[in-house]
Amino acid sequence: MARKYEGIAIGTFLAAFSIFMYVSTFSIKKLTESSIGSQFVPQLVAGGIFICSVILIATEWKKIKAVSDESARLTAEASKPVQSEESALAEEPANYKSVTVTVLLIIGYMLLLPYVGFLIMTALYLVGQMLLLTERSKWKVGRFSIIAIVTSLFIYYIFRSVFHVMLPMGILG
Amino acid sequence: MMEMVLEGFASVLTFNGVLMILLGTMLGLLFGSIPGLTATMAIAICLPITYGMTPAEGMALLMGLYIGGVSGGLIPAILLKLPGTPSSIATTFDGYPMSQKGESKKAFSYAIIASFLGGLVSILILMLISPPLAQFALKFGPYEYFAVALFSLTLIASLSGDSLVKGILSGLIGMAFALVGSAPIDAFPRFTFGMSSLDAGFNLLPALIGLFAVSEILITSERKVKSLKGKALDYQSKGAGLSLKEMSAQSWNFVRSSAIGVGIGILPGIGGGTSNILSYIAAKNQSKKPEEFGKGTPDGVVASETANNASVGGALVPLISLGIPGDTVTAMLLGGLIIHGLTPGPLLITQNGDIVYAIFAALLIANVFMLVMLMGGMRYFVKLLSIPQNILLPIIIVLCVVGAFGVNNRLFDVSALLIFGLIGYFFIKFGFPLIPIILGFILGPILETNLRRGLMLSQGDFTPFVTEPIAAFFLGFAALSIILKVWQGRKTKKSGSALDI
Repeated sequence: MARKYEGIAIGTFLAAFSIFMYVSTFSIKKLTESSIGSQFVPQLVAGGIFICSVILIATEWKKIKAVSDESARLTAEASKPVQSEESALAEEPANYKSVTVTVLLIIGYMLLLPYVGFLIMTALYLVGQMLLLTERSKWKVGRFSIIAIVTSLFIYYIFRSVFHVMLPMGILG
Repeated sequence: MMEMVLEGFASVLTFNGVLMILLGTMLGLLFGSIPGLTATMAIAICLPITYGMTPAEGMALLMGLYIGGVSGGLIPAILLKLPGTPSSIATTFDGYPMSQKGESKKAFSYAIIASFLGGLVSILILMLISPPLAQFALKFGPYEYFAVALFSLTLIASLSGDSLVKGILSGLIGMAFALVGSAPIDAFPRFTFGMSSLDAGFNLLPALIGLFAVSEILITSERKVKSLKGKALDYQSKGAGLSLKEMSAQSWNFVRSSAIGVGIGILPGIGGGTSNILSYIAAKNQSKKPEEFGKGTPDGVVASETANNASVGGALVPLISLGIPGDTVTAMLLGGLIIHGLTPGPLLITQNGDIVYAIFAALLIANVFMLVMLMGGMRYFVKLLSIPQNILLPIIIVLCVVGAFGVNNRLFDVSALLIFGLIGYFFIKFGFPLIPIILGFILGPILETNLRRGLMLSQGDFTPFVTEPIAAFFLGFAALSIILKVWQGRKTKKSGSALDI
C-alpha cells in the first residue's frame, strides 16, 4: 500500500524543495538597472514548482479517496491472476537491493578511479557489475574476468590514442 | 540551393566522412536492435567522442546513429515481439504474427523498404522546409524567441506522458537545474552554494547521458538478466521475397504514413515513439479489411515502419531552423552542435550553411547505408540479439563514465552523471516524463536570456511580449495547448467513469 501515497510524498518533497529554492534566491543580488534581476526567473520557477506540487498532492488525494470507495471491487479484480502470453515472459518483481548495489558500485568506481587508475578499476568494476546482473548459478568468473580485462584495455587504448581523452593512470602511472 | 546540396555532399564524401556515416549507421542499428539499448543511448555515448572530429565528421556520425537507431528496432520487433526501441512498438503488432506464419523475410523486406522510403521523404521535406523557415525566423527578436521557447516547453509538457502536472513539473525541474551557475546578462553565480565546480553550471552532456542512459541501466539492474536465447523465432533466409506489385500496392499507405510521421516529428516533444502507433491506427481505420490487422498483415508493418523513420526528418526541422530540439535525440544533436562551437538557431543556415547541408547529405547517405546493411546483413544482426545484457550493460556504464569524464577531464562531471542518472531513475519509477526535464534544461536559459533582453529593450515594459504579433501568436498557442490538455483530461475522466457504470 506504500505506492498509494507515493504521489503525495513526491508532491510534498517537491513543495519543500521549491520553498528552499525560493528562500535561496534572497541571496541573489541585483546587479543591473532593470526591472527584473537574476533572482526573478528562479523565483518564478520555484513558484511554479510549488503550485504544481500542490495540484499534484490534491489530485493524488482525490484519487486515493476515489479508490478507497471502490477498493473492494478493485482488490477483487486485482487478485485475479492475469492469464496472458506476457505473463509467461513476466519477470520477477523489482529488486531494489540490486539497484542500490549498482549505484554503490558506480560510486566506488568513481571515487577510486583517480587513485587506482582506469585500467585496473574498470576491470574490477566490470566483473562486479556482471556478477551482480547474473544469476548465481550462471556465474562464469573466468569468462567475465577475461571480457572485463580485454574491454578495459580496448576502451583505454581507443580513448587514449584515437580520441585523446586522458584517462587517469593511477598506480600504474 | 542545388549548389549548397552539392557542397554538402562534398564535405561528407571524404574518406573519414563516409567512414563515420558507415560506423554511425552500424552502431545505431546495433543499439536499436538490442532491446534495452536505444538510439538516444547510442548518441549519448558517442557525443563526447565527436570532440576530436571536424563538425562535418561529427555530424555525419550522429546522423548515422540517428537513422540506424530508429531503424534497428524493427529486427527484434518482428522476430521477438520485443520492440527494440519505442519507435517500433506498432511493428510488433503485425510483424511478429508474420514471422509466426514463416514470413519473416517478407516482413523484413516490407519493413526495411518502408523505413527507407519514410526516411527519404522526410529528409527531402526537411531540406525544403527548414531554409525558408529559418529565413522567416531571422526576423525574430527577444520577444518572439521567448514566446517560441515557452510554446515549445508547454507543448512538450502537455504532449509527453499522461499527466499535465507531472509534465510541467518535469519541465520546471529541468529549468531549475539549468539555473545553477552564472546567471545570463549579469553573470551572478546562482545556487552554487560556494562550490567553484558549480560556477559554470551543470554540463549538458553528463545530464543527457545520466538521464537517458544511466537511468535505463538502473531500471534494468532491478532484475537478473535473462538470456533472450531460445525465444527468437528462426530467421528464414529462404521464403518469399517481395514483388514489385506487392510493394506498389502499399503506395497510398507509404504516403499517408510518411505524412503522419513528418507531421508528428515536427511537433516538439513527440516523435517516432508516438507516430508509429498513430500511423498504425490510421492504416487500420482506413483499411478495407481492418480485421486482418494484428494477424500479420503487411499493411501494419509498413504503416509503423514508414512513420517512425519519417519522424526523423520532421524532428530535425525545428532544430535546424529555430535551434529548438523536438525530442531527446535532437536535444542531444543540439548538444553536439554546441560542442563544435556552432550556435543553433535561424542563423545556422546563413552562417554555417556548409554544416547544415552536410547534415542533409549525411542523412541521405545514412538512409542508403541503412537499407543496404539491413538487406545484406540481416543474418548477422539477428545473431547480435543473443549478446547477453549482463555483459553489455556494465560495459555501457563504463562508456558513460568515460564519456562524462572526457567532457572536461574532471570527476565532477562523473558525479553529475550519477546524480542525473538517479533523477532519471526516480522520474521513470514515479511516472514523470523525462523529455520535458531535458528540454527545460535547454530552453530555460533561452527563455530567461530573451526575457531579460526583451525587458532591457522595452525598458522594463512587459507589454511587447503580448502585443508583438508573432510573439502573441506563439503565446496564444502555448495557452491553447495547456487548455486543450486539461479539457482532454476532463473528457477522458468522464468517459472513463461512464464506462465503469
